[in-house]
Amino acid sequence: MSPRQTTIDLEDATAGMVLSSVLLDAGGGTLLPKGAELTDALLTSLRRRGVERIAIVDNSLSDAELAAERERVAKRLASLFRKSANQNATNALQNSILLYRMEG
Amino acid sequence: MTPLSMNEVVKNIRDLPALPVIVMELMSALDEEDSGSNDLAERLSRDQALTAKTLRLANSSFYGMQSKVTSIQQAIAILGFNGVRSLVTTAAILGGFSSSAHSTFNFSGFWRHSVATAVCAKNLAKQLGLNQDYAFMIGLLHDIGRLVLVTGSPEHYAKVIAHQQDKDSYPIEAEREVLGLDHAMVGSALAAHWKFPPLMQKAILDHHAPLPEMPVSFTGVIHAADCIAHGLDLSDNDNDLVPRMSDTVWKNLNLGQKVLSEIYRETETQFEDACQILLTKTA
Repeated sequence: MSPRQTTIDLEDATAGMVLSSVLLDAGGGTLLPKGAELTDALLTSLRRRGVERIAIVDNSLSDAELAAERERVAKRLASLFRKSANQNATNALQNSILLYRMEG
Repeated sequence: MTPLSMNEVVKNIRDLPALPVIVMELMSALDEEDSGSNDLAERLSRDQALTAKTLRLANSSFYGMQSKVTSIQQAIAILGFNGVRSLVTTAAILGGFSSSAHSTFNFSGFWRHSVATAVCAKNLAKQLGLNQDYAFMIGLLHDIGRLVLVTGSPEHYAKVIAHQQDKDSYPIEAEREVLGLDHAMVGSALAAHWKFPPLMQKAILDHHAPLPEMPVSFTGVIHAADCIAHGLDLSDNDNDLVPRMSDTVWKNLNLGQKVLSEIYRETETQFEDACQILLTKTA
């Protein structure tokens, strides 16, 4: 989960919120793309389809909080990968997880 | 060093509770056609606990079902014979090991990591066009040898844990240094004892040292899923350590950041749900 997104119950969602990742149905088909802005009509439709939770963009973090969060994530990854110095593929994995955590 | 001989380990394996007969039969016939669907449903329905857990698994989010599955027959119709076989096996194996105890081994962290690896392996398999059910099952069992060691030789394993923490070494290295064998060998021996198919035995045996294979097969998938699950920090262990990822497997997987992020996201999303179903004692 990247710092700028949060997962909420559909019943707490309101029009104007923006999806932080693609919303899939139970069969893996796309219901709504990443970045879609929710409207009352869309919310009704999602409720009808039985969607329970959605991931939305969360801009409630300040830049300073975001920087602190990034540092926390990078530090934790450095600990998990503490024995990976000079291991090409392991380093590549660490970088790709860092990128993933910072998306959004 | 407090060596443990493979003979002692095999004796411990023989002392483990037997898998339900139905699971043994299902696994030994893994390569056969879907001939016994009715037979499977009929016999499985006599084991209420196993049926209940299988259906809960079938209805969980990572199987992505459109409608609720209420019977084994229906599960076979939707998930196929192989899908149900993997669910039944998963449910049975988790049931057989759940009540163990050890002073320093973190069982909950062990199972959380196993489930994370299973879910990630399933998502990698989907990406590579491999059988997702097999990948899930092997992922769940990849470290099962550790459980044999912990439950069968608890004092030996306490020394492994102390050594590993003392040196901050990779767990598999600590096992080799203290015991003279490792959980991959033991897990593979257990898979052989249970008559699991050779491809599963091999993937468990080689999951820390996959041989080069192109295209990547189950051994490489489990190897990568193991590393990713540790990297995503899903084991609930402050001192967790990501194993060394094979350069060859990483290169041959050839996944871009977009696909990797998607796999990480799916794994994290499905993980909690999978833990709740697989690791809850009730049902």
